[in-house]
Amino acid sequence: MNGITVWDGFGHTLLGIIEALAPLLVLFIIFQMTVLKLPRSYIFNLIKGSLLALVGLALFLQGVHIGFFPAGQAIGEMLGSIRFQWLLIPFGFMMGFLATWGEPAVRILSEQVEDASAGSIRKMVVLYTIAGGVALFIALGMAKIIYGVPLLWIIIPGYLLAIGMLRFSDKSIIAIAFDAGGVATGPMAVTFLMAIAVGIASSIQGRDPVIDGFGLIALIALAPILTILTLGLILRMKTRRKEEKNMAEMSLIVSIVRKGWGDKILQNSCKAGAEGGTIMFGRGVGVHEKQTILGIPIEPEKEIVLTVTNADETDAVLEEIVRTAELGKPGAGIAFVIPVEKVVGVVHRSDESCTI
Amino acid sequence: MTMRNQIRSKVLEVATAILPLVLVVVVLQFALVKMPTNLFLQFIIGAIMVITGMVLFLIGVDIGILPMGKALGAELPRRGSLPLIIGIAFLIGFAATIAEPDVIVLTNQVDMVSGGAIAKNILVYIIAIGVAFFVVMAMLRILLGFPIAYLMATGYIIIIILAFFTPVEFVPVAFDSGGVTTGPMTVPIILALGLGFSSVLAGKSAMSDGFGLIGLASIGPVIGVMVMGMVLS
Repeated sequence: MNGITVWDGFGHTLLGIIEALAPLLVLFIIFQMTVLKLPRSYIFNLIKGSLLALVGLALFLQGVHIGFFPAGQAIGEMLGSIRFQWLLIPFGFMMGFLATWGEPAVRILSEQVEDASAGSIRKMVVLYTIAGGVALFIALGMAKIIYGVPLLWIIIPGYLLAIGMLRFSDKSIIAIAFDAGGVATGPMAVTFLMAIAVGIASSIQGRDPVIDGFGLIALIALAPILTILTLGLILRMKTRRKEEKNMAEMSLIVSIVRKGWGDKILQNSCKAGAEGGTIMFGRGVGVHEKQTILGIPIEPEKEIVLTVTNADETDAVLEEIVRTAELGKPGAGIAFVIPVEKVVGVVHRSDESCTI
Repeated sequence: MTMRNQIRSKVLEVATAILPLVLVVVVLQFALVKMPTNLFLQFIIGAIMVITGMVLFLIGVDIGILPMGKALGAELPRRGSLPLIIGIAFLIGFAATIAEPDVIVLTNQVDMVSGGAIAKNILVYIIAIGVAFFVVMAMLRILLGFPIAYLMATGYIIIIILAFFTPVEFVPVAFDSGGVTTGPMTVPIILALGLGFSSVLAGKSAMSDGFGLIGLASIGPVIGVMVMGMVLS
């Protein structure tokens, strides 16, 4: 065969997609006519969108089928005869990542997670976590093919680990994790990666393409479950640390100093562990500053620095402020500490101090 | 977002999604693989189709399928009829699966492994019923507030136990079947159904209860194919 086949089996694919979409469309139209009664322009948009999705998906699948599938086979056969077989492992990592990166369903899920979580879990984070997981497991899958490890040796400990992690995970993360396992095995992964794997398995001696090549999908489905659950545990630890932080007692240091000293105080209190501060300008007078000009008292300009600190850091910061502003000397200013009942909006991590 | 901005952002997203993979294949082609020119040309045409198709698909899903699925999902509990919810969830799960192109590929694999001992059509229906059953379970879970961890753990423990009794050549195929059933068209439909359904129920939210349908739907076919393998041998 020497020609280029582009539209082979396109009608079949298109028909399949229409069949998948049809029940949703029909049910929706029934609901629309009986109860929903949404505005006509809205319905028009929905129908337009569905048609776009239909044509788009057909094109996408056809492109994968005629372009990526044969390319994957050719690459797999070439790689199977490579001299340094361990090279397949990093190569599998790269291909696993890139194929998942290009998977449409993975993008849809990631976007819906960002939407539903009101942005607290970012789309990109989900994408990287899923693609990274698949990359890791494709690398593992390559090792499996090279060294002839049975599939169950990877799959069963993997799922047992996942089940164990369920105990410590939030229910929303569990649902997302298992959904991610489903979406990662889309057309790009199934067609392209499997073509590579089957190609490799059929050119390495003693490997059965059916047993060694297939089964890769099972790895792809397992990978994101484990990585998303891990992501969930990390997120959970982070929020817990943040909450503990907010629960801790805090205090407010108010320092009233001569004009121009505020910046210096802010800088040095940061070094002493404060997480920021606010400078305000004011005017005031103390016993050491009773000066008048033409009978009018002079009220020297002051700077007021507000610093919220953790109770355990207060002493250190206060000491630093006293030292910096020379508060021991008469007329230099005063500083005092007030306990704080509640703080909202302190989001810095405790091991991080501000930089100016 | 206006239509034009939406198209621009989707084109950009798809370009960053697909081009890295295309680039790697092109580099490999010139460095190592050296496929025949016509095959390489076919790959380039395929890549262009993939990019155009994915842009259209993602836009269409955003403006058509997701809102439609969510509207339908949100309407279901309002009818107040449990059989209706079960019926529609089953129908959507079943229909989406029998049409999924990957499932057809899978049945060919099974055909090969089992030496034609089982008719392809029957297998497709077994898988589709497996998926539909678990979509219904997932909807009921949202409604009854049953913890998803128990469902998942039970499902996978059953799978692990079955794996020891399933003939070796059926094991990879069984696990594969769980993955392939949730293809690109099924995912947005089932996803939107769950998100819309949970969004209108008091005390539930799309974030905490809306996900999980796809994950559960993947369990059914694995069990189905394993049982079939045991029956056959």
